Amino acid sequence: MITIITEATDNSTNGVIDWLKFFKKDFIRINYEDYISKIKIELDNQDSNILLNDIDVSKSNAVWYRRGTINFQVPTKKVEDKYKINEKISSHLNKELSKIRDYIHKNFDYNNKSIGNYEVAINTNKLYILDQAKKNKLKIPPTLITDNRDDLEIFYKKHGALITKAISEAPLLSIENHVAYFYTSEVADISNFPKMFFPSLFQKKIEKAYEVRVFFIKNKYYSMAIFSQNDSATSADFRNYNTQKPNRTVPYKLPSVVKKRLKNLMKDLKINTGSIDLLVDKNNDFFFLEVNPVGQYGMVSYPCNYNLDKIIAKELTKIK
Amino acid sequence: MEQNSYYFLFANCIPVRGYTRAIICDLTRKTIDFIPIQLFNILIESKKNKIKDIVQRYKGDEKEIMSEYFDFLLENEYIYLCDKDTLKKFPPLSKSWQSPNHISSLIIEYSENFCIPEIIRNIEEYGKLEIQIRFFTKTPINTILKLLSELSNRRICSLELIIPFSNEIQDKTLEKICLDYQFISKFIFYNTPKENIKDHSTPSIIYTHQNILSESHCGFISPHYFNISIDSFTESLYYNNCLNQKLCINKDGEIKNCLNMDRSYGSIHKANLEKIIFSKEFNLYNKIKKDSIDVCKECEFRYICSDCRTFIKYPENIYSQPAKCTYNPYIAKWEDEEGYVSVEECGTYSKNKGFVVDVKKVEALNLELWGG
Ligand code: SF4
Repeated sequence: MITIITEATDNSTNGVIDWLKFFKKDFIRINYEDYISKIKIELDNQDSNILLNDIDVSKSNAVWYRRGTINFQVPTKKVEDKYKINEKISSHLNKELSKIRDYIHKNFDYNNKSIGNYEVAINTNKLYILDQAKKNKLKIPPTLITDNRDDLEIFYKKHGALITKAISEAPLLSIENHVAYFYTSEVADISNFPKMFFPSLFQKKIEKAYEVRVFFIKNKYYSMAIFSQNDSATSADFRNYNTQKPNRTVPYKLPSVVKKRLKNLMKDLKINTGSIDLLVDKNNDFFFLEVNPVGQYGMVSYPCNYNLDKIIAKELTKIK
Repeated sequence: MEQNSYYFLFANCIPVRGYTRAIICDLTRKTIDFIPIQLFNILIESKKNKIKDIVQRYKGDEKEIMSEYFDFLLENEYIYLCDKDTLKKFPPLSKSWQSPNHISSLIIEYSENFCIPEIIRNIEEYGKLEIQIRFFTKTPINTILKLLSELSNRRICSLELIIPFSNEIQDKTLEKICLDYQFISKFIFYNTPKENIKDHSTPSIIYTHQNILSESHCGFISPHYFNISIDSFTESLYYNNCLNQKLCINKDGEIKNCLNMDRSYGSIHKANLEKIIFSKEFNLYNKIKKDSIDVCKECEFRYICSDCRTFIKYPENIYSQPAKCTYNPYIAKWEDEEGYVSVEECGTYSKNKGFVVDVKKVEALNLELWGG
């Protein structure tokens, strides 16, 4: 049996499940949105069993940690709470549940049977990852975190045009019928900045020839080049999609040195699947930007005809 | 232009050669552009040359023209200029077509004699379905609503409803239905007093005064029905793009490949579905791809054009051209264009050889139509 931890609306999960059905493989899908209603974990000297809704997930052959997590309902009671007793108890109960959840995720990782990893996914840190990338001989764009205009001006004088982006995972904001994204955007007119501001990340804007998005699973790497430089609407971040004249998105073959360095980096970071963003500048130099362990890969799979859903399904059925 | 550069054609811009001209299928932008055979040959054969060296092969006017061709390719972003090392980083697009489905398209004629949700439940064992339901008689809106609510927990990809026009269905009702059932992709109301097409809304809502369910409304070939996408392009390389993975059920409950075909595989009430879906007979048409169809195999539109195996030019020859095609690839003219002559006037048909083009005659025609 294959266990899939995901979210109810995740389309990639549907795509992989279609293939698992085609291969006639048993699976269970656990959505973040569906609370687990029954749990039993039993550890004895021979064995440990984890039963979620009466299914023993510890006996799964393979686990795909796609995104989300296992979710339990926390009992809450609305009562007069002068001494914050209730609040404290409820926070304690939450902690109890999160230990259970962590254990289940850890158990999935035993014997390397998991593709994707919950702990890695929730603990990604862009700055730490840049450090590790550098260690693995990958170039990174010069990066600055600062809360004041003076530092920013010095950085700007040194590097020229800058971009800014979120340090953590940027949320989607939906306001009535509109959705607002936090895009990577160019920094304009620093002299208009206040003297002090909220600590923010700035990076040298690399004059790119094209971007590369890589999906990897275990040791297999699938890359796509994105040409958006003719298009000012998309030149800072290709997700800011221009539908009139879509970007050129084509299959790409990473130079073997770059691939090797990326593999080493992912090994260090203990990430066995995810999406990597790279930039290639006019001198053919590669810059590592970031890796997202739970990123969407449909935008790589379809235009390059990689059939990644099938490849993921096959990888899952291979784990014994 | 930087003629000292090497170039590559973006992998999802695919040149396809026809008898007299070629096209570039831009599978990302879903458009096509015509190119001459000469340029097609260069794109296929001279992938590792500098543009300058290609242009140098020609003299005088021809050299000028070749240079213009490359300007055209660059302006339309079909090619990218690069150095030699970069060439090998851009592999071609994989041409494989892979599907986890056995059945992906289902057409049902509505009838009170069988339970459509139950049929769909059985068939979706075999794949994710794009469904079309056709109503022949005015059906009370409540019947339609009941059907939709029974379908809402199925794993349907998309649903198209074809319904005779009735005053009962007001815009407000329609709006609500679309909101409640997001898997609906298209509403077609036929026999309406007036035409009105909202093709770009989701779902698209079409009012037409024609009776589109009659036989004569199927099997048309026209640029209007061209499908320029990676999915359908690659599928057309190996399979029949109309009948592959399709299953139809008519109002008598008979299982068919196509509603307009006589051949029935039995009644939905009694038949063993699994057996039919995997039977040799049922899948006979799947493998009839455009490359094996008379005339189409020499047409530049073959991987984006729909097909029809029901209405064909010579019913005794299953590989003959769709009867309702109005294009002649030997002279690159559609029926409504000046200078059109039919395919039949450009060659001879025989039962065992199929259609054989009269090369001399076509050459003369093309000289007259298009010049030297
Ligand atoms: S000959 Fe007609 S039916 Fe055949 S591919 Fe060309 S346009 Fe389509």
